[in-house]
Amino acid sequence: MSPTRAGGAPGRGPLAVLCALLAGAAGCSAPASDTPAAHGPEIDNCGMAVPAGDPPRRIFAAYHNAVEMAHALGLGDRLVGTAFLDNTVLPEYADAQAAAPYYPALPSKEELLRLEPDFVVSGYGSFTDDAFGSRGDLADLGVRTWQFTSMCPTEDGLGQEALVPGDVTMDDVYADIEGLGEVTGTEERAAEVVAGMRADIEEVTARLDGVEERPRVAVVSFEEDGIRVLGGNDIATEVIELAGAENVFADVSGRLTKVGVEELVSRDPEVLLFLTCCGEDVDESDAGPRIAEVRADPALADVPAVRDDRLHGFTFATSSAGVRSADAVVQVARFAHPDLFG
Amino acid sequence: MTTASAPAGGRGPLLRSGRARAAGLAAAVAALLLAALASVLTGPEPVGLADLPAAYAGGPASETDRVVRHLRVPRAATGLLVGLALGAAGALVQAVTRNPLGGPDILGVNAGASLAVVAGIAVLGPTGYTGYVWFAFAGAAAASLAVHAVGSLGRGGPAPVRLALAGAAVTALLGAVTSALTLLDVTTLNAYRFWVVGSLGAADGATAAALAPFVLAGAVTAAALARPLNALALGDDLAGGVGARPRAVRAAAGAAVVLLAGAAVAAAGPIGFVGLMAPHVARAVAGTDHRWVLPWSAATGAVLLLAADVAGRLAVRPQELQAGIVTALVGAPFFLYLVRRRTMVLP
Repeated sequence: MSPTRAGGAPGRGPLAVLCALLAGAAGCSAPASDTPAAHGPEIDNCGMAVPAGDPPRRIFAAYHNAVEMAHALGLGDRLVGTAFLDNTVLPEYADAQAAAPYYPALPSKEELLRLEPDFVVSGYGSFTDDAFGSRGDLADLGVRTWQFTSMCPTEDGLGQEALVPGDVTMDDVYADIEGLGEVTGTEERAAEVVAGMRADIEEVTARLDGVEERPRVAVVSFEEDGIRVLGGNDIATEVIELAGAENVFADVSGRLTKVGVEELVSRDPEVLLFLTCCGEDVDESDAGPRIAEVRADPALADVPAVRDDRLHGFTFATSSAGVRSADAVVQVARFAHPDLFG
Repeated sequence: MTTASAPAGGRGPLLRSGRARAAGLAAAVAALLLAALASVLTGPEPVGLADLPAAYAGGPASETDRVVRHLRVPRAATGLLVGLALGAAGALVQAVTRNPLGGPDILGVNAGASLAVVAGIAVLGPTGYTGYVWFAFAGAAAASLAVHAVGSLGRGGPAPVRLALAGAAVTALLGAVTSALTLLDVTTLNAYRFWVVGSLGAADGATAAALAPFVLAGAVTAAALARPLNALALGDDLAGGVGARPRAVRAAAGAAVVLLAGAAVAAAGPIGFVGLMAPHVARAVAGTDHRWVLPWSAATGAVLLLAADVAGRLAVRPQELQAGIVTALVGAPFFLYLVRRRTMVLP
C-alpha cells in the first residue's frame, strides 16, 4: 500500500533513508531533530503541539488501537514496530500486520530507541516514566509522538487519565484520526476513514429513530476478587449511548475500574458484555468459559442479563477508542436491540 | 526492649483474674459477632436485619436473598475464618520464635503461600480454593523452613532480630519472583493484584465451606499446644524439666502456622499485619498465658479483618479498598510503634 503524501517534506527523504540504513551511525539523528515546525502547521494533541508537514518514515505503534489506526491510514510499510495486540487484528489488516515487526508486550525504552523511530503513536499509556518516558523526553531525541485523546497522560508523565471525565466522545476519536492523518501526510485516507465511521453510526441512529427503550448495558471483565467495568468517561459510554442503550456504570469514573460483584447485581444490567483480552489470537469466543461461570453463579441468577441470557463476548480492541469505534456502536446496537438489528 | 510480663510501669494485663478473663473472652466473642453482622449488613444492596432470616426461609429467592446467601454471608464467614486463622497463626509464631515482631506475614509465610498459588495458576490455570490451598500449604511450608534456616545461620540459634531480617529478605525475594511470573504470563495478570494485596472480594460459599475444616484443624492443634508453649516460654532447659519437648512443640506449632496461614492466603490472598497486631492486643488484655493468648488473638484477628473489610467497602464506594490495604494502613504504623517501644509484653 502506497501512502498518500499530501504534505511531503521537500529534500529530506534520501538523508533520512540513509540514516535508517546506517542505524546507530553517529550524527545521523541530528537532522531529524531540527526544527520541523518550520515545515508546516502544528496539531494539538493532549496539550502538546505535534509538527505536521514532514511525514514520519519510521513509525512505532503501541497498543492494539494504535496498530489498527496505522493500518487504517495505510502506514503499514512505515511501521518499524508494533506492540501489544489485545485481539486478532481486523481481517483487512491481517497481511499488513503479519509483515510488521511485533512485540507481544511494550518493549523497553532502549529497545524502542534501537528501532530509531521518528514517530510513536500510542493507543493507551506508554509515555510514562516506567515505559517510553515522557513525550517531552522523546521530542528531545527527535521522536514525535501521538497519544490517543482517550488516554492523555498527566503533565508529569507519571500517570494517565482521560482529559475530562465524560469528555471522550466520537469527536475525539475523529480528531485523533484526522490529526494523525495530517501529521503522517495521509489526510485523504483519514477523511475516508472518518466518513465511513460517520456513515455507519448514522445508519444506526436512523434505525433507532423513535425507539424509546434504552436497555441497561454493562461492559465487564471478571477478576479473582471483583469486576472491572468501563465507566462514564470511557468511550464505551458514548458507544453504548449511540447504540440506543445506557451504561449502568456511567457514574463510575475511569476505564477498567474495579467494583465488587454486588455492585453489578444492584445495578440490574439487562445486557452484559464480557471483554476478551489480550493476545493476537484472542477473540469474542474467548468469553465462553467466563459466561458459563456467570450462568452457573447463584449470586448472579437474578441479574436481568443473566436471567434473559443476554451475555456476549466483546473484544477489548472493539471497546477501545479508535477505528473500530463505529463497529463497536453497530455491535452494541445488535446486542441491545436484537429485534431491530438482528 | 526489655522482657517483662509486668513492665517497669507496673501495668500488667488488663484482665487478671480467671473470671475477668472468661467474661472478657465472652465480650470478645460478642465483638466478633457484631463485626460479622456489620459485614453482612454493609453493601450496595440495602439489607436489613429482618432480611437475614428471610434469606434462609426457603421459597423462591429474591435478589436480596441471593445477595445475602451468596455474597454477604460467605464474605463475612470467610473474613471471620481468615481473621481467626491469621490471629492464631500470629500468636503461634510469636510464641515459638519468642519474637514480638513475628507474624505469618513478617516471616514470609504469606508471601510463600501466595507465590506458590500464582505459580500454580501459571501452570494449571485458575483452579479455585480447593486447588489453591494445597499450593498455599506447600509455599507456606517452604518459606517458613527457608526463613528458619536463614535465621538460624551463625551461632546461638534463631535470634528474634535475625529471624525478622530473614523474613524480610525472603518476603522481598518471593515478592519479586511473583512479579516476574506475572510479567512473563499475561493470563495470570488479572489474578495478580489479588495475590499481592489480599481481599475478601473473592469469597463465595464454596470458599468459606472449604476453608472451615482447615481453620478448625489448625485451631485444635493450636489449642493443644497452649500448655506446652507456656512451658517453652520458661526456656528450653526448664521446659525439658517440666516434661515438654521443645523440638516437637516447635515442629507442631510450625505445622499449625502453615495450616492456618496457607488456608487463609488461599482464600483471601496475603493479608498483612493482622497476625502481627492481634497477639499484642491479646497479651495486653489477657497476659502471657497461651491458654488465653491464643483465643484472644484469634478473636482479635477476626474483628480486625472484618472491620478492615467493612471500612474498605465504605471508604471509596462504588469501588472497594482491598482489606489487605486497610490492614496495612493500620498495621504499618503499629509495627513502627512496636519497634520504637522500649517495654513490651513479650510472648
